[in-house]
Amino acid sequence: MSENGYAISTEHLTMRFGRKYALDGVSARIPKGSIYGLLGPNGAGKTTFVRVLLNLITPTRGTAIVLGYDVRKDPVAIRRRVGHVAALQPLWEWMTVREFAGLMAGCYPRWDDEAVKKIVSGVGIEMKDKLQHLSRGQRALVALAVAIGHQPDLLLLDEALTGLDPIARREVLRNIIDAMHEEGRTVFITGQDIPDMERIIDYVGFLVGGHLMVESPLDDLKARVKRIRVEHPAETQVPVPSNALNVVRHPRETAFTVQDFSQALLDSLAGPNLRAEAVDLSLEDMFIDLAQSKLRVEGK
Amino acid sequence: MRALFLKEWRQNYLLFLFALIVAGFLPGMYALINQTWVRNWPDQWSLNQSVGVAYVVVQFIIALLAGAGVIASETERGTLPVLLGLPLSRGRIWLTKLAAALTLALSGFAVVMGTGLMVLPQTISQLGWPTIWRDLPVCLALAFFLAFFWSAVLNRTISALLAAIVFGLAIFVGAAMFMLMFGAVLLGGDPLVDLYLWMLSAIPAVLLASYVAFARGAMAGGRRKWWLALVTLLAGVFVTGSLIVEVTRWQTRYQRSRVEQIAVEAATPGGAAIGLFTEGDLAGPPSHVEAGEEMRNTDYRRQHIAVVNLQDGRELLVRRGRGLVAVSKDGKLAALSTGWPTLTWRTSDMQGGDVREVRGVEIWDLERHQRLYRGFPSRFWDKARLDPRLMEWSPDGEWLLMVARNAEAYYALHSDWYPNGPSEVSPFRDDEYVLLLMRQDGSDPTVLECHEGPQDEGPAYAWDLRPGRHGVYAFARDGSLVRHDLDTGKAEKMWARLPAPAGAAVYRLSRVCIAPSPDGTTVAVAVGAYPYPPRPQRKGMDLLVLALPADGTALLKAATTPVARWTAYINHPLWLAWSEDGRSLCAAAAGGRRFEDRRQMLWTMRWHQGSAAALTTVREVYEGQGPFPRFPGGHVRVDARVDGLTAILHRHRFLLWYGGETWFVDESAELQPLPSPLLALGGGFVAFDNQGRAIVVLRGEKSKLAAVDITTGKVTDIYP
Repeated sequence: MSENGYAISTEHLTMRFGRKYALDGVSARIPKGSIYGLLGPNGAGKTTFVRVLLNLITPTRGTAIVLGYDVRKDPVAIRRRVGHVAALQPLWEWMTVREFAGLMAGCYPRWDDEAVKKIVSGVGIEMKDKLQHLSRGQRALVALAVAIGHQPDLLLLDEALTGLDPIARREVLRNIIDAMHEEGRTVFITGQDIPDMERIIDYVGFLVGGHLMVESPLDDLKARVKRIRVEHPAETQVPVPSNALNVVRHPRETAFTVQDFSQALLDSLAGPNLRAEAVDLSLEDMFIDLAQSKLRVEGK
Repeated sequence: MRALFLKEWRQNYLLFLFALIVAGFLPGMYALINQTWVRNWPDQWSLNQSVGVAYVVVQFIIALLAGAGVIASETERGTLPVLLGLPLSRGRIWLTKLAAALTLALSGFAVVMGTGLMVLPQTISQLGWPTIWRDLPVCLALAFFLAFFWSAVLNRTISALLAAIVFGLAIFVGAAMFMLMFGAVLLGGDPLVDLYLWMLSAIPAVLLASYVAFARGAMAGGRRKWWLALVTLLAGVFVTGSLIVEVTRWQTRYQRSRVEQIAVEAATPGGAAIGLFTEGDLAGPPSHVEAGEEMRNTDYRRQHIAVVNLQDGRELLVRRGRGLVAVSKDGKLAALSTGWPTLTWRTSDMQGGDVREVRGVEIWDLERHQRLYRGFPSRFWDKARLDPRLMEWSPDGEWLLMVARNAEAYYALHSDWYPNGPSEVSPFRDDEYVLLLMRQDGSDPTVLECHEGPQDEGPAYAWDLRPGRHGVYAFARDGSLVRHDLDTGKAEKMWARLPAPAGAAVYRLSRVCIAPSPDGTTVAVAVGAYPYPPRPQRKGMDLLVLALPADGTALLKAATTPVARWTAYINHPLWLAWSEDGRSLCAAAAGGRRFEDRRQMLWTMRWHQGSAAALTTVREVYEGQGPFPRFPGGHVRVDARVDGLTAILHRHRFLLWYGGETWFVDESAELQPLPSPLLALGGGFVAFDNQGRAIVVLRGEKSKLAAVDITTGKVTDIYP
C-alpha cells in the first residue's frame, strides 16, 4: 500500500473547460488492492477523471495523488506503474499486434511478453494480425492485454469493457481483473455495465455532473441504501423522510429509497395498518435513484 | 524512445519512398524537358531553371509533409491519448517525434539533393553555393519547423500543411518588411542584415512554441493550445529577434575589430570623414564602385563604409559592403548609393517572389540620424540597378548631383536578352552619362541633358561654387558648355563651340573635365585635342581657362597648348581643382610626354587674372611611373589601387604620398618628409579637414584613422 494507504487520492479536484466544470471538487479515495468502480451518466466526468490521473490533462485546481505520486509532479512515474485502457481507443491500425506490443514494450522498464501473448492467443488472435483486421472487441482485448504487459500496480479501465461481447467481458473480468486483484493490485473501472461491474467491484463511487456523490465500499453502500416499501390503507398519507429518494405513491403502497437505512427507521414507519419492509437494491437501481435525484436537484 | 522513433519512421516511410521516386523521376523529366520545352522555347525558360525549381519544390514538399504529419496525424487518428499515456515525458515524446521527422526529412533531402547534384551541376553553379548550402537549407528548415509547429497546434495534417505555407510566407514577407521598416533603426542604419539570419532566428521561437503547444497544451482544449502556442511564438520571436539584432551588432563590431585596411574617401569641411574599412585587401576607396554585380559582391561581407566624426571618432553612419557616399560640406547630410532588401515578383521571366537587394539612393541627416529619403532618383534606376559613378552635394547641401553611366541604355541595346525587349529602349546612348539631381528630401528629381562622358569616371560636371547659386556646369551632347540653373530650370549655353588649337587640332569631348573657380569668374576645362588630319597616335589633352562674364558667354582666356611644359598625352581623365583663393590651379592625370608613356603626373599652375591673363605652370610636382589612377571628386587626388599616389591640395600646399613615402610640399618647395617621423601611413588615401589637418590612415598592428597636423606633426587618433 502506498504511503497513505490509497492507490488514488484526490482533494477538491476540479477540471474546467471554459465555463463548464467537468470535475467539480472531487475528493476521492481508492484503497490499494481494491477494485473500484466509478459510475456515472454520460458526461459525468469519468473520462476526465481518468485523464487527470494520468496527467493527460492538467487539473484546474486540487490535487491528485496516484500510487504516492503527485500527478502534476511525477506523471511519468505514475504512467510507468499504471495500465490504461480507454473505451474504443483508436490504435495505429497499420501495426500488427506484435508491433503494437513491441512499441509498448520499448517504453516500459519491465515487460511480460508471455502474458500478453497468452491473453491475445486466448481469444484467437495471432501476434502477426494487423490491428485494422481485428474486430472492435478484439482490438479492445489487445489494448487490455498490452496495458497489463508491464504488470501495472494500478489498472485504469475507462469504459474499457464497452464493445466486448458478454463472453469476452466475463472472461476479462474473471481472468484478468480477478487475477490482478488476487495479486493485490488495484483496478479502477469506469463504465455503465453496472451488473457486470457489480459482480467484481468492492468499492464504488457515483460521479454525477462532476460531483462525487457517493464513495463507499459496495457492501456498506448496499447496507445503507435500501428501498422501503410501505403498505397502507387507501387514502392514508405515509410520512416519508425528508431525504427520501424516488418516492412513488400508489393508492395502497408507498415506496422510496433511503440513503441511511436503519432498523429504527423501518420500525418508525411501521404501525397500525401499516406494514413497512426494506428491499435490497441492485447497484444499478441505487445508481439510478441517486443520480436522478442529483440531476433533479440541479435542474437537469 | 527508440521504439517510438522507429514507429515514427515506420509510420512515415512513404515520404522517404516519395523522395526516392522523385529522385529517380527527375532525371527523366530533365531529359523530357530537354527534348520538348527547352528546344521550343530556349529563351523563355531554361532547362536548368525548370528542373532546378522542381528539385527545390520537391524538397519543400518533403519538409512540409515531414513536419506537418508528425503530431497532427496522431490527433487525426485519435491515437494521441495512447501516445501521451506512455511512461515518457511529453518533452521526450516531442523530442523523439522531432528527431524522427527531422531525420526523415533530411534523408529525403539527401536523396533528392544528391540526385540533383549529380544531374544538374549547372543549376548548382547557377544558383551559387551560398544559396545551396545556406539560404535553401534555412528556408527548408523554417518550412519544416513551421509545419512541425502547426502540427502540434492543429488537429489535421492538411490544416497544419496549409498553415505552415501561409505562415511561412508571412514570416518571409514579414521579415523583409520588418527589415525594411525597422532594420535601420535597430541596427544603426545598417538594414542589410542577411535575410537568412532573420529566418534562422525564427526557428528557435517556432520550436519553443511547438514544444509548448505539445507539452503544455495538447488535449487541454483548442483555445488553450492556441493561446499558449501563439503567445510563446510571439514572445519567442521577440526574444530571438532581439537576440539576432544583438548578434548582428556583435558581428559588425567583430568585423570592425578585424579591420586591417582603412581608406579615407574624403574629409569634409564639416568634420566628417568617409572611410572604407575592410578585413582583406583594399581595392580602393568607397567611390571606387564598379557598376558590375561581381564587384559589388566581392568581399561584400568583409567590408563596411563608415562616416566618422573627425572630432571624436563617433560613427555617424555605417554600411556594410561598398557604396558611394557623399557628405555635404557642412557635414550634416550624407548621400549613399546603397542597397537594401526588397520583396520582388517578376513575372516576365518567372523569377518569382524573392527578397533581393536593390540598389538606390539614401539620404541621411547625420546629426539626427534620420533617413530623409530612400528610393530611385529616376525610373531607370531600379530597373537597371544603376550605381552612380559620382555623387556630390551642392555647396549649400540643398541639391544632390549624381552621375551615372546609362546602363539602362546598354540593357536596351541588348534587348535580345533583356526581358522586356524593345519597350525598354532608352533615349540615351550607351556611352553617355546621365546627370540626376534631387533635393535633400528626394523631391524635384531632375534628369539633366545627358552628355558624352569620359572613358572613366571623372568630374565632367561641376557645381557653381558661388554662394546662393544652384547651378551645374556640364557638357551637352552637342559639345557646348552649359550651365544648368536649378532655381529657374533653364540651361544656359556658355560656350557653343570649342576652339581648335593651333596646329590643326580638333577638340573632342571625351575625357572632359570642368572646374569652375570659387568666385565663378572662370572655369577650367580640360578637353581632348586631336590633330588634323587625325593621327591616332597623336592625341593629347588641352587645358583651357574660360572667363565667364555676366552675359553668359564664355571667353577663352588661356590654354596650355602654347605652354612648353604642358604637352601631355593623357590616357585617362584629367582632374582639376582650384585653390580656395582661385589663384592656383592643380591638374593631375596619368599620361606622359609620349603617347606610350604610362606615368602619373601632377602639375600646379598659377592663374593670372587681368588683361594679361595667363596660365603658368609653376611646377611639375610629380611625374613617375604608377598604376592606373582613379580620381574621386572634391579635390585633386591621384591615387591607385596599390602603391598609390595621393596628392591633396589644401590652399597652396600639397600632401603627396607615394609608395609608402610621404612628402609634404608646397607649390615651390622641394619634396620633404612630413614632420612626424612616427608616421607610417597605411593607406593611399588622405584628405584635409577644415582645420588643415591631414586625415590619414596609420598602419600599425591594425590600421587606424588619424589626423596629422602637417605643420607640427602632431598626430591624433580618430578611429576606431
